[in-house]
Amino acid sequence: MQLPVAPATELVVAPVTITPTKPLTPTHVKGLLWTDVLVKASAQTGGVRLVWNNRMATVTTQATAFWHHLELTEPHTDWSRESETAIGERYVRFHGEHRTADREAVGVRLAHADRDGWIHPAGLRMLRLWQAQLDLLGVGGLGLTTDRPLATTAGAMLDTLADRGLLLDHRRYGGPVHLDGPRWGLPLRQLVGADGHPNYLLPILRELIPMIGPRRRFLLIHDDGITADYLLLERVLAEFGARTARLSLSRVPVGGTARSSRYGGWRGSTLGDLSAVSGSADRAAYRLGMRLYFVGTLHRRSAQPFRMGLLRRCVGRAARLLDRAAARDADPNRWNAADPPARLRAPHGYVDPYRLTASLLGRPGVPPAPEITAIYT
Amino acid sequence: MSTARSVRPTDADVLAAAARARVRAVRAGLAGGDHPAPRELTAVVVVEDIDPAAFVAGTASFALALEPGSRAGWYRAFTRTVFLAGRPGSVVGRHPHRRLAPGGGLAWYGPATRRELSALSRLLRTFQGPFPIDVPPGPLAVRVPGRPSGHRVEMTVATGGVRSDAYLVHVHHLVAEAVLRGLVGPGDAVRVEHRDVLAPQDFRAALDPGRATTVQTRISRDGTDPDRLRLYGVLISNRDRGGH
Repeated sequence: MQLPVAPATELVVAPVTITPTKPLTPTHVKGLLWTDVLVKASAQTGGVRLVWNNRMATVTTQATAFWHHLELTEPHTDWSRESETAIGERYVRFHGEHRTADREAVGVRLAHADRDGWIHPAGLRMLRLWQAQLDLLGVGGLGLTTDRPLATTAGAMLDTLADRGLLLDHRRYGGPVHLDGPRWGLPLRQLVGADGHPNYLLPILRELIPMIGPRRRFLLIHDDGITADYLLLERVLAEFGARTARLSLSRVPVGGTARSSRYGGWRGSTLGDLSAVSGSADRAAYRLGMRLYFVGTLHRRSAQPFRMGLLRRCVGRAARLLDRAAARDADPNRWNAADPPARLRAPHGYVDPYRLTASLLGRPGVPPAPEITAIYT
Repeated sequence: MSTARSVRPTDADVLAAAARARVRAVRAGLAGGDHPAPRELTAVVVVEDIDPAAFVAGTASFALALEPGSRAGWYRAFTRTVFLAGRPGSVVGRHPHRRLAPGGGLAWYGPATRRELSALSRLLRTFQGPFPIDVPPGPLAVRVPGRPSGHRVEMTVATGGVRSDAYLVHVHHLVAEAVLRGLVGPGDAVRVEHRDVLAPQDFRAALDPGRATTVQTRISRDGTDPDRLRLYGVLISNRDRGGH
């Protein structure tokens, strides 16, 4: 007798995209490393696809209004030589000044970013700096600088949402377009402003809704400051038949605050800074140590502030773990203490990165098996 | 000049006098309106779609159905109303409305205290409508729900340069106050005319304080020139029950 074969499903992992306008902060690093461990570990149990498209971040007024401001104020700056901190500080100043943007000029740049993938040279510079840091961290292969046209146009997506009755569209009165959250008891949420410019939610919908299919499950990863938006996104995707789950991660406070990076206050703790202080540790120990800290000690709701001392200890511990693993692998009578299949259980359709990583920390005498080491280095 | 003014008041004088008369009337309260009422009553209108005729009919029937305590309290609060963007059909399950306009594009809540309305306010967002309202050509015939009363009401409303959100505010005050004062009743036939501009000289008689018992006006700061008063609406009833 032949048993029916369950249809293969693909886990679509969609983390919130980061605008290349500022350095990567501990909150970003936590999200990236949780995503990285989750994707690599879950790939050992089933099909996984990461959705990352820079245009989900660049086709936003948050990015284009800033870049338009740079065009006006610094037309002659050679951005290829600027540091991430210098660009990031301009971004913080820009958001602190509450200037009113030139609606039309921002609209032209939004269209340019949407259609042609336009990114201001300061943004390209930031992406290049990120790429080097992400390569060192071992997440460079995830495709975090991928850029392609969004899967469907803004107009087509608004029509699709309207056909399902999910919009409150007041454009005929010169007003905004809202997502009808109240139908699910959630607040009304603006999608397109009265100025005609969409916010960051529309590119996400443009990219994800066309991906919905019977064999796919979606995992949305976001920081907990935007949980309300993601609860709504989850409802909208479900309305189109998607099976979804959410992974909400707490921000990592730096200097006593857990605010969004557009407020600054991240000096000394950017990923660039962290790469520089990895010290004498080799690349593998840095990669494992960063994961032990950001994934294994900072759990998903952790309110712990960023602690450089603890990170350094994690990197030291990683070096010792890797030394022991190397010694064991060289030993012809090695015993395989780790049990990768058991650790890689995925009760919610994905491997829990915190549990997997904490299990490495919990048994310091036992070096990780090669399959596990491969995920972390 | 001062002599000329005393002989023939300017438009600004006429509008200022009518606006002051309205404030005095509201402060005096409704006739027989000694009911204890909570202070600071606010109504909420949830706006999905603006159909001017349905809006006038809905406003009138909402105000007519209020119990005496709410009528007096809301009148004293200058019929304060907040317009929130929302779909009545999506809200009604958790927040049952008091009135729904014909067509279902507008729903009324309250009047109630801000605290009582806060859950609804948090769910929705302030209605924004910078464009002028699109009104059909020619006057609208609106029937206030109820058995035909034989009474007639003439309404004239300004639309030139008036934002949609401001239109809602002006018409709502005009109709609601007229209802509370007894100028509009169940079954009345209301003729609504939209004009670009209401010139005060065309409404001199209606603006005369002596006619106030049968007339409701809406005068407010000009949306484009806040130093000027502008006439946004005039409502003339053939019911002679208006009193202060």
